[in-house]
Amino acid sequence: MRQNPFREFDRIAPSDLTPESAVRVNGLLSAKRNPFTEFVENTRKKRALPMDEILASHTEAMDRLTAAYRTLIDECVGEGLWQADRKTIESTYRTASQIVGQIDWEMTDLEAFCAHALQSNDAAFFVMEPLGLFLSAFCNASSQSDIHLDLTGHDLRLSLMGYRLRKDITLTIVGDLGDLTGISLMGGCLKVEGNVRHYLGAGMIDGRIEVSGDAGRSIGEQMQAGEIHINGRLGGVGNTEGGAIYHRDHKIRGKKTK
Amino acid sequence: MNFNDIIQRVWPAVRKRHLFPELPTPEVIEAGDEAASIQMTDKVIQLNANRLAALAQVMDIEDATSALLDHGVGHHTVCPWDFETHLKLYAALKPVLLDGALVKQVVEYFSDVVVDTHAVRERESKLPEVYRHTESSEVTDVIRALYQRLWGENLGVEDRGEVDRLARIPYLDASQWGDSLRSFSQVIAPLIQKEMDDGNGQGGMMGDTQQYSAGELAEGMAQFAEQGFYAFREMVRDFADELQDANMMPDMGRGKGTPTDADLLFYMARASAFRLPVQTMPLEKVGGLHPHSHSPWEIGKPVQNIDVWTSFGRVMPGISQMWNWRDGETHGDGDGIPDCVVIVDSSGSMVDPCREISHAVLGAGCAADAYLRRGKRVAVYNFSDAQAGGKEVLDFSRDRKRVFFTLCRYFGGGTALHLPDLEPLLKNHVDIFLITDMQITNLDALMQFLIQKENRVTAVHVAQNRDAQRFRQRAADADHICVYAVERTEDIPDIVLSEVKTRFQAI
Repeated sequence: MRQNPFREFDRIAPSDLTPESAVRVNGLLSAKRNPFTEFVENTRKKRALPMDEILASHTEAMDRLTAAYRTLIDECVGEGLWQADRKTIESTYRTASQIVGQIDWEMTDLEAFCAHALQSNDAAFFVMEPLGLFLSAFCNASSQSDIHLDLTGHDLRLSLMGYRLRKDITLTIVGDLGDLTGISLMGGCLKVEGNVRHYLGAGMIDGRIEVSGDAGRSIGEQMQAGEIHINGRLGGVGNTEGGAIYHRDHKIRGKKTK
Repeated sequence: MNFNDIIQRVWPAVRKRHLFPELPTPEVIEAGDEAASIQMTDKVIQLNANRLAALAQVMDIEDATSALLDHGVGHHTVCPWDFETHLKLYAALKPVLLDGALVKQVVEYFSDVVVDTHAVRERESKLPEVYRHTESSEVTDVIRALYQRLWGENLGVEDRGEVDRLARIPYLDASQWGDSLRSFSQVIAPLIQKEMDDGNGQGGMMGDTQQYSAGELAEGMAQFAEQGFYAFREMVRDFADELQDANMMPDMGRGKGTPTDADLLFYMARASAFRLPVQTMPLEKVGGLHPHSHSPWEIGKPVQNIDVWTSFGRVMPGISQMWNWRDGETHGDGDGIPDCVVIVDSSGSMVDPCREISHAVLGAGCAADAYLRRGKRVAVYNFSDAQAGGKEVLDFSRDRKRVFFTLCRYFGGGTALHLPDLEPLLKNHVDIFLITDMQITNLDALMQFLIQKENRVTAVHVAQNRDAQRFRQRAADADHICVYAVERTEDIPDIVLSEVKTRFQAI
């Protein structure tokens, strides 16, 4: 039977593991001496830092928000597909608002949650469309008047951000967004430092949308009032019912400036 | 105060705390970058004497020295560890920030936070004391405020709003460094950019501490080359100073059709990731003469050839038998690999290696590397319309940079080989590696030329066309020519150089 070559060290008492007890035979350490003693001595406890608590608290917050989003997906998507039609958007937003009211959260968690959601492999985030509504529900429930979200560095573009953004809130988003950004805006101010896809500000009731980059087709489709300002390239303007759309300083739709 | 003596006293303890990293004894430098507390050259940590003297005024000098060494050692043992990891961090951020100088600075600060936090948490470092006396700037104040929050130590700076976002990043989780770095940059990059615009960027909390060996650089670049041609080109541009310092830049000159340093480095790095096998061939003739048959011995014939056993011990003409000797037919154990001539097509129908990835150049580079790695010499014949001067010939050489430089030249225009050019290169039974799209004006003459030669030929066509098909059909009858098709980078490892019927080639 083969012997464990390190068995001899089992016989060594901890008190032997001192540099003074080293016995050299022909220049080599004797069998009495564990050659890894120095590493044993170096084993020290890691210093507990406030960082550990911060990270634990952060992980807990992310878990809580992930669980909340999973609940939203279970209730609004289930096993089927989620399609961005008016009825589905409204019912999903209603559910999201209810969930947001039931959990503890801070505004500072939100941006971290965005990054977490866009990077996570959690199955809940395989359906990304309602995430914009979920985040919009947080923004509308916030007591802060100025909200800043940095979404740069992610390939995915969130849709439906700024849904029903209420008056007195300025939401600034850095990064590119997807379709239906700022739809049904309700008097808030949405600033996008990046590009957006189609149906920007569709059905907005009032408020202001500023996009520093490009915007896709059907901008302001069925918008009733408010202003949309686009600084980059335009895909096309939709059928508006009111309000004004500006491309740089040039008004391209609407009768008069508010 | 003799700082070198202090280092001699402190260094063993620092090494022990960091589990004995393989680093030479640090040094103290009087001159150098004023802003940097630590610099590194050839893996030697160099502490700035002025900075040490300043710290000696406010804290125990041994603690200060030990803390600075903790920081320097941490860059070797924790983050970024090696150039490959450094480039991974760079690659995680480059597509987001685009500005190479800014990306490098953000990576520098990020790795500083990782290293310092690791040292404080796991190595009982005195770094908090050093950071209590660090010069103030916009970025360092935010980082110090972050340390204050993470470490729970008062470093004498005001809390900052940015720290809320920075403190949530798991700096010590190496598996999340890519995402962590992106989150870190969202807060820090604008501040660094502002400092850079004002001309105040210092590049890290302790100065620039990244110094890699040539081997690390080569390994890191070989891995990074997989990111693609354009990403690699950007990387070389951003790290030009580091590569120049390590003497890695080819610096082979400029001119029409001349590859840039970045292109050369890309093909050199990418080729080193492939290790093509080369079939050996017998190069040693052994055995000589051996006794084959008997014949009657006659007077005048050598007596020593008499076979005493069949001659019954007698030396008599017509009766005694003598051995007839014949040449041996064995090859011996001296298998080896000859030198190689790489013939590469750079005509207009081929991809310009300086515009996008050229499988012809990469394949030729891999083949050249396979021979160079085995200590053999490589000659290069790069041609387009050779008879009109569109050619470059490199005689047999072991200089990898020169070989790749010749391979990367691009002529464009027509395609015709001037076969007499090849004759001087094809002596001594060298191997031939030909890579082309086969759309050669005198393809028939080339085929005839190769079939007549006895050299082992590996022909690679980088396109599927009628000419390539014709070449394959003609080569099918020649047992010393093997043909491969390469249309994607993934096809290259399938090439076995000189995988032809091995024949005896004494040289």
